[in-house]
Amino acid sequence: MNGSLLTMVRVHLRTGWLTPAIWVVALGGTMAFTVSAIHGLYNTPAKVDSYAAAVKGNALMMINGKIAGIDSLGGIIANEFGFIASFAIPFMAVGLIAKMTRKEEETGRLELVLAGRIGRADPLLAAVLVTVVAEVLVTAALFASLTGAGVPTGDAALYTLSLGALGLVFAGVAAVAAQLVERTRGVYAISLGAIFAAYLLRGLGDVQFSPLTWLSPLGWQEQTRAFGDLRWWPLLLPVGTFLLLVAVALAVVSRRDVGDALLGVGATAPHASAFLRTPLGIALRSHRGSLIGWSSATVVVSATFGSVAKPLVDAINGNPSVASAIGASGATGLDSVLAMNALILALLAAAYAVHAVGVLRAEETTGRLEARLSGDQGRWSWLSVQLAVVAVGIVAVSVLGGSVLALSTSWSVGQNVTVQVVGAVVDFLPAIGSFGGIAVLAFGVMPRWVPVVWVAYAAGAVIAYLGDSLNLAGAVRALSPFQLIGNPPIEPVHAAHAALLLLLTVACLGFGYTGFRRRGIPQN
Amino acid sequence: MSQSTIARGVAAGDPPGAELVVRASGLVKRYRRTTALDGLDLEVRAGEVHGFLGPNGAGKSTTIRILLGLARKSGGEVSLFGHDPWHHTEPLHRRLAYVPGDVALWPGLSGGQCIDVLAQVHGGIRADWRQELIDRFDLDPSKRARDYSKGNRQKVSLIAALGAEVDLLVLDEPTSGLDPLMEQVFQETIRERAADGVTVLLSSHILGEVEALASRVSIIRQGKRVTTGTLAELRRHTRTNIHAVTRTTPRLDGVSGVGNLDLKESDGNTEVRLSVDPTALEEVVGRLHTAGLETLTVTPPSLDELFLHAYADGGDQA
Repeated sequence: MNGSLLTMVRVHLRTGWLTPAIWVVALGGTMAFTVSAIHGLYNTPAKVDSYAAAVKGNALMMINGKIAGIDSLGGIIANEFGFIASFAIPFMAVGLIAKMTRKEEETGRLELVLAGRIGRADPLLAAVLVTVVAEVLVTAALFASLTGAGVPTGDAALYTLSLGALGLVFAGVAAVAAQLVERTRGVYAISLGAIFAAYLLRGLGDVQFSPLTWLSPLGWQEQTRAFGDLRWWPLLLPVGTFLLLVAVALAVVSRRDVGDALLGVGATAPHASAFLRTPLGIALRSHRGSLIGWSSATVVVSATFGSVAKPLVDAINGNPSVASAIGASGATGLDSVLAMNALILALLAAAYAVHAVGVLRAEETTGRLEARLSGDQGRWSWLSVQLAVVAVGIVAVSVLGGSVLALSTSWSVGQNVTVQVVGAVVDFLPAIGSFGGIAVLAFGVMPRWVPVVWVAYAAGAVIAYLGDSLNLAGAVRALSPFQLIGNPPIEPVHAAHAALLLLLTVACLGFGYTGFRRRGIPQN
Repeated sequence: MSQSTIARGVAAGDPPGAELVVRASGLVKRYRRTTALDGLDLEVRAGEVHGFLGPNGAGKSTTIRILLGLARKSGGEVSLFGHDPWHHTEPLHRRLAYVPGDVALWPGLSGGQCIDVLAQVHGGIRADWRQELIDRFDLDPSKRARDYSKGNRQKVSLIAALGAEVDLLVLDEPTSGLDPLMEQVFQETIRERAADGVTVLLSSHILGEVEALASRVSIIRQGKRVTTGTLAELRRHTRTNIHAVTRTTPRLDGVSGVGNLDLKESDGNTEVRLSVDPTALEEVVGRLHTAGLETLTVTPPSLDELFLHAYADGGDQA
């Protein structure tokens, strides 16, 4: 490592050590906890066998992937962990790379650094190195907990390596995206799009037994068959892709101007339209990107999951114990699948809510809010218009996703399920809204904590997803608004819980408003 | 701080011609739809403070970004210490420090930490200079960067750059946001560095600052240089303003090079106001003398006039 690269690694760590540290601790901790919980539940060969019998068939492949060696403790862990790992590990890679590359460039800090004794490509290369180290730490933590739970060393090594390699691919994707677009949120949009695409390709490929799986980095990860007949060579695919993508990104960064991007944006309209000059017009403009992004993601996911509903329904009807594996014991196959998909949709809509409040925060940190409030628009009015747009956005994302899910599921199972699907989505609205409420509370009272709401979201999502299969205690489950709502449409929602969530949301909004009216602006 | 008058611009390994720290000729920079530099020429000599002026959007920052290797030229020639700034970026950066006009810092770090991070990438900061500069600029280094005003962010960048032991300081509107008191501290510090032999490229809109510091200036407009030289040279080409009171009415008709002529009778005397080209100065003063001088005020062109002229119409030598 040359001196300039080493200096740059130090600069990254000194200016932003907290984010990778949080990722490593949170992700490593969640993994260790999940492993020990599963280890506790399936502590005899008989229990392991019963699990295997329950999830055999292609029922859950769309969600969790096709797990080799499902009749082993490692296989169960991989199966339970599949969905979360599919997203969390790539998210971490994307988040770290985007923050250390395009974000620094967009703010102008990179220019200051590059005016020093730092090679043009070193900030990117150093960001990749820091991300690789963070991935290594997370996978090392997972390896330790797996072997600690008695998973054979070879299996554990291959599984953790395959997850680490998965993260590397998306680190590469984000590194290239950072060369393509000028804005950090563009890097996130491209990379998240790639993660969703990889997830859907892997799912479709697994369900259809088609080679589509091999087009997806998640497919490569799965094809190592870590708990079956261990295959090491598929690791070459992600590692090769990672090296290739990083090489491309380095080649671009060494040739382009600082602050520029391959898909730079040009000039636009010199005047604001009459509508754009209204408070609502400018608010819609700020929220446009996130609305379009999350709506498209929700539509694509809903369409995909809905259209593969039939094989899942058949599998569950053919083997009722499968239903218990997805937390829906005793329900019909159709209801179980509807419940699972409704939950996924609710998770996406809640993510939109958190993200949309982040847009408000971005208005503040970029200084636009200050300019806005120095005009004739008051704080109360500004926040109300913004939150109205967010609320409409939440409903739009939920209803749009719900309609697509209803249509595609009805088409797949040959039966009209519109009422059940839309009903389930509406049932989840208090849970979805509560994340918006928490985010508004943070924005009003402790604006620097707005990004931390994502941690609460992640916790709520993980508990909702793993609550049943891990037999989590009721008190833990109560922490997740999704779990509080219940399991629509299998069982009627807990009306009292829904009311409680609504009350909580209103309280959060109230404190958020009060805080926002009292606090200094901007608070950076 | 040490006093030495040896220009430290040139190093042993520099190719011939490196006594020009900056040399650009016919420099072109095109962006997707616009041309930022359209054949720019610029020479900065070792050891001088060079004022770099031009209206907004003239291409000053683009030029600086090319000199720093942050942007790539589209055409023409450019060298820094005789080397290509795009291909020899790292070794060249060992010899310079940079202050941008709009300083972005790491919001979670304190000002002092930001200084140290910037110093780290610039190869260190002298501890004694660091403390002295913090005192001089009256910066509270324990405050978080997110709580700094624009002026305080600017101070952080200035301290990190001025505390580095370098041959060249590249300053792009470095004092935007500083109060007049800090402006004085800035000028004082630059004078000391210049006395140490450091070369300074100073892009600025504050004409008083340029006048106080720069030995030579270049004025650019629409990506081209309009004029360059010492301030005295620039002035020599500019009209002088004259205000005189004479006992009789002076005969000034037919003198070429006289403008804005205004004659007024008052208390039996004639009050004369006019502006005159350098070539006609001698003749005009002679005629005023003949008319019997009571008072005479000769004002050299102010820098403002000089720049306004150059900015406005391409400056074909006012």
